[in-house]
Amino acid sequence: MDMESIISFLAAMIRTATPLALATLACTISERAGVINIGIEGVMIASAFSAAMGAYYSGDPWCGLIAGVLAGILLSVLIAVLSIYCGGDQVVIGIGLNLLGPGLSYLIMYKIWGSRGTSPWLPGFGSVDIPFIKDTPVLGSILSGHNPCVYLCLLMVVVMHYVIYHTKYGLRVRAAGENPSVLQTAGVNVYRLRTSAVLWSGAMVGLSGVSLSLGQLNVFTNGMSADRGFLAYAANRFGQWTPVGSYLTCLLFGGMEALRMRMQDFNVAPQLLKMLPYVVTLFALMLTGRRLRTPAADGVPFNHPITIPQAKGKKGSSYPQSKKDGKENQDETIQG
Amino acid sequence: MKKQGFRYSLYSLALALFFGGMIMWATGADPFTVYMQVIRGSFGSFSGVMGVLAYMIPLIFTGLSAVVAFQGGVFNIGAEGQLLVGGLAAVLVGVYLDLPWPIPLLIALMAGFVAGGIWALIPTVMVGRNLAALFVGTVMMNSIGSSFCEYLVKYHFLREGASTTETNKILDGAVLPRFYSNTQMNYGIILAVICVLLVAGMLYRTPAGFGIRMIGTNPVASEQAGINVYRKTMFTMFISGGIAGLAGAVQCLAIYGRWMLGFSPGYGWDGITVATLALLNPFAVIVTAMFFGMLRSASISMNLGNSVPIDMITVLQGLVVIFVATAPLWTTLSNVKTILVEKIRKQVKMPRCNRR
Amino acid sequence: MKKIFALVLALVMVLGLTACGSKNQKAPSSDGSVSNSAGKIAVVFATGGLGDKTYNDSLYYGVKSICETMDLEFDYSEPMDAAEYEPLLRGYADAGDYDLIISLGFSQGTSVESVAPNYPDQNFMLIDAEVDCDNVACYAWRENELSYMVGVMAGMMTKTNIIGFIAAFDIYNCNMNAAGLTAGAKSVDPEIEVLVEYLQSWDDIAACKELAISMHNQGADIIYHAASTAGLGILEAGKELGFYTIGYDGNVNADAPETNFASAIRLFPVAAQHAINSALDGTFQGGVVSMGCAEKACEIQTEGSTVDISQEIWDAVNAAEDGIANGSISVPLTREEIQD
Repeated sequence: MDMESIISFLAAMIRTATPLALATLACTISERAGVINIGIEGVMIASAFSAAMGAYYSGDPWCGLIAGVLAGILLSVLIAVLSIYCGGDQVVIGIGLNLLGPGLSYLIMYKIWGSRGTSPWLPGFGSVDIPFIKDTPVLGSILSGHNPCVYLCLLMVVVMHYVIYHTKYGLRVRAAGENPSVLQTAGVNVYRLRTSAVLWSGAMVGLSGVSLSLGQLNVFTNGMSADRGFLAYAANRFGQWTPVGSYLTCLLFGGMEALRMRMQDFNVAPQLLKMLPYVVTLFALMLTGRRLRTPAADGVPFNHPITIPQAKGKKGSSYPQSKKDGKENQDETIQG
Repeated sequence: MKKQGFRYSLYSLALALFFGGMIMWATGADPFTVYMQVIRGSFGSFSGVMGVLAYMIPLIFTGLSAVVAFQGGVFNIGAEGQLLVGGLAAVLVGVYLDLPWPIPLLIALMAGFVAGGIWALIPTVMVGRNLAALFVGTVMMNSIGSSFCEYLVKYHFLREGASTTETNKILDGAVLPRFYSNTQMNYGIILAVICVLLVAGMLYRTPAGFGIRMIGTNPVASEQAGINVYRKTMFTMFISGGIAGLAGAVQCLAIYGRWMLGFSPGYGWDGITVATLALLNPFAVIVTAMFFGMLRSASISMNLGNSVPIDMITVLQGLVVIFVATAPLWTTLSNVKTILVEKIRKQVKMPRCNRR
Repeated sequence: MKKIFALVLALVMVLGLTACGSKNQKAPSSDGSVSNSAGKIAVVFATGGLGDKTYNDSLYYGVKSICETMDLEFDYSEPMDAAEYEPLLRGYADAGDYDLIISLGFSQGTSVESVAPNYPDQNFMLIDAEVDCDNVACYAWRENELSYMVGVMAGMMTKTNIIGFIAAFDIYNCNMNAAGLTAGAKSVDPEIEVLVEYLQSWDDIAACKELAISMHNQGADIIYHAASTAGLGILEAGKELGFYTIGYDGNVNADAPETNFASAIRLFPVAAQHAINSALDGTFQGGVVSMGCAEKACEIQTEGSTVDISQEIWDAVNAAEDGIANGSISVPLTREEIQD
């Protein structure tokens, strides 16, 4: 392999990894806060479609981006309300979203474009160069000249790493995923915190959908997410629930995919080539997998405060209450 | 509580149908006509009912597979891969074993079970009982399974002159017969029901099943109680994968008579939904599978008349899944009621009885 | 309370069932309109559905225009997955008033094989697959011939002497195209190299685009595909990087007029017309009908594209078509034949 093909390989790796990486980051943030978001696949299609619609009607990909992100957030509100506030099973709601998202998208698509296969061609982002990096010899051709979603993705990795590990909010998010009742004792509203994380996650899935229909391509087609949502779910776990780890895992997957496309000369059956990334992951898992540790409260619904009246009678003060309430209780007992 | 749960599910169903109706109305279809068509298409005719039963079969199997795994505390979402591998193993027995009728069929079913089980065991052996890693492993095994089967069929068992990747037709000895030749309904349904009974019996009536459920609820305590959690997890995964493999075997032996590319439209994934909606109860799996079968059958009859966009059914399915999962909503609502009543009481300053 | 609720619910359900039972007497499809048309045609499309800009759309518009000119009724359905083929086919066959049921796609072969024997009086037309039934007419294209023409065209236009071909899966039909393309290109210049790659997906358009880009990086300046909807990815890549592409099974020239200079089309209407005519006049026969250049069922369309194609190239393509039709050129069927 000469230098040029290595450069093009690395660039392809970054490009291919982007939609997957954005979805994986979405997974990371919501699972760090203790909410399993398995509906990524469906929300991704819905936001890719909304982005397509937004871009088609406004003629501007940035409006499409906003529409896509909004769609992602909107569907995440559903997860937030139903699973965080109502205590519904997070996995089932996710599965439901996987059905609802594509169903609604194709339904509306059929209504407005008269086809449930492909959309008209859309005004996409095209490629954008980064001013200074562009002129650097090797780095320029690898990092520059991608669609804006690629840069957004890199930016989000940094932002998310900073937020999760270096801010108070991030500390709370991690606590919400490990031990929410302690967090509640400290006076933080776990519901609100988890909701914010889920909405953020929704925005990230939205971005990932946008990067499919407007970033990588300029068209929306039926089934274009091609199971990336499920792969993202696995990539997040493999990346140990860290933004950087997740991104590196996606780079690995993207690299494998890009490598597969360049290995045709070796006369290997294409089915076996297709298997390669997954087999490699499996073996990597065998070496490192036993160390993976799930956030302790991942997927565990937090009890709703409204259930307190019942709990009060049964368990006494097992749930933290504000000072004022405590005083009242004391008064009551004294009176009694 | 059980009865209440059932009532809440009905409420959720009604809410889902209501929202579904709103969506239909918004997209210009008449909700009542659509719902009538759903009922008419599924239970309104003989072929519809047979369709419902036929679609139920694979879903019962994959649902059971998920029930076993989830009750054992392992999130096996590799059912799709196990199903493909199990189907291929069964078909290969069916193609190459030339014996009188029931013998190859039984061996083929067994082969499907074992192959699916082994496919589920591979990631388990590789990563041990680490749930996160096992999850990733089973996802990987899905993709590996589909490519691996495709490779085997393409390069070793391809039908002469096939335009797609498919095996030869199985011999008569291994055919799982249909009830009527003009419907897809087959004797797999009996196998499925037997399987439900066996799984329920195993989970609730045998020490092995008790062990599975115990490590599902509390692996640490089971370890301390002297259960070999690793070995038990392997057992759980083997059974779970085996049942998923049976799903593939039944589908191939009864419906297609061969293994072909893309024969499963994601039964493995649907199984997870079926199992979770059934609250991991093996008997309830039949009911939820029937529900999905019904929507499926309805979607086909609506497709024939091409009057309603087929995606409507997917939307409806999604809404029902989401809302049924939110049964605690009703508990919450009733609690809100309690709180409101309490607040009003406080404000009115009714005399309260002394607690002590 | 609960019992009453359950009772009411049951009552509603029973009422609903009886109500639809009575409605069921009417004809379920086509809204009960009394037909006075010359006949009825039903089509079961391949998964992927309409709007794929390739073969489903191609057949849909073909059959639709035939039905309009001949005043036929036309029903169709779009299966969501392979498991739905059989019930849909049975649904149309059970109705009994369709003169011809057309089923598209090689994945329908198995389903047609199990349905057709149950309805000996029903005529089926199966495109892209071959089954052995008396009432099924199988129309199979010699796609290698079409791709040979494409190969000649691409071979004369390429400057780098490298042509890319993206196939969806490693299956017979796709490989047939690869063989034809290679033979055609090599007939122009034996030095020309054809890169063949498998996408392993019918709908992952993003991956297809990546694949096209990687082929372009390896020097391919013309890329052709047989990957259904996913194949649209090459148009994207071509537009972006400015290399030529060739569409397949549907005219997509207008989608990328400056780079997609031609679309290779299997003329489904020719076959559909043939089958419909024979079904209507009672001369319908089962068996395999092979379609290719000799039957005038292959075409390279350039309408919609702004790329100039010289007369010299057209002459070569037409010569190839004639040569294949009269048998003076034999096109290999598999890639192995070429390597030997």
